[in-house]
Amino acid sequence: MTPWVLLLVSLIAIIIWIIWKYVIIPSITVATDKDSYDRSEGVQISGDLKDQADAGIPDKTVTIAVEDPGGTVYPTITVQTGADGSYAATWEIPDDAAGGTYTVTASALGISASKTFRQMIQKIVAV
Amino acid sequence: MVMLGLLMPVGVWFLSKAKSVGPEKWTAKFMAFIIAISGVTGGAVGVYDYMAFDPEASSVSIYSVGIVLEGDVLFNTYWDATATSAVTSVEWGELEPGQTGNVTFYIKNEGSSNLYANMTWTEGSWDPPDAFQYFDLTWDFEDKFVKPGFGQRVRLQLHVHSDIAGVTGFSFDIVITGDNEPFPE
Repeated sequence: MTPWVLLLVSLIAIIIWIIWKYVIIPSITVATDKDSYDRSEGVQISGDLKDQADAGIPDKTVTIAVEDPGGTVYPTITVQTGADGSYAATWEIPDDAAGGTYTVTASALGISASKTFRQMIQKIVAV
Repeated sequence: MVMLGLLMPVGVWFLSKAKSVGPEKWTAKFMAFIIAISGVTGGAVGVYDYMAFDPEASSVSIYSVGIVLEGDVLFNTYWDATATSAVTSVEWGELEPGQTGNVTFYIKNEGSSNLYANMTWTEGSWDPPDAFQYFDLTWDFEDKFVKPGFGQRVRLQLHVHSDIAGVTGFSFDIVITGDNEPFPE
């Protein structure tokens, strides 16, 4: 192997190492505590913001949006990630919320993740 | 891609040269081999692309459409529900005559009063001029409003008339006007 080829391979290895060490490639997750809720319940939303080494990314702002079946997006919630990169928030289902499938989207550092849940309409049945 | 076809003879020439290089010059031989393979591959792709080219194809390329926001109510348009990626232009891609393209985005009311919105295009923004007569632009936001702090998913539809002629690519600006009162019918 010639010195030039060795030099080229070494340079490529150094560049890959620098990218891995100093460039953060984030990933985000989002989850809800249940898959379906009754009206006026609280939806517990949680997740993690991690880097490519699976280490939590602390002190970053996570924006959470809840979209109803008709495409209406409720006012967004912003939370900070903790020391371990985790975040948590509660969204109260409004009394006049429509029934159907809702979508929770969490975004931070230019990436996002979504999760759906169902909101059941309570019917009062006279006996 | 058609230009890649020019690489084919270059690749063949390098391939013939690679054979004549002695075994002690293996680095040069390897480089010549790589260039030759690249040339032949590029050439093949170029020839395929040229043969697949249909000068009679009638699809319409919509390069870019600007979004202009006007009105007294503070609002913005975003690609995502979390309102982190603002919409500045819309790529419709290629549409065949008679086809309808769909684009979905979100309108967010960032003001303190209800947001009613009206969508149109400015005829003067069309490039080429007069192409607007071959298109219909609609959205599903009619008779709706957005409360302060809320957002609304909106679907835009662009229909290309089947009798479109002489237009292969165009652009225009979409104008969304916001107000705190409903627009007259």
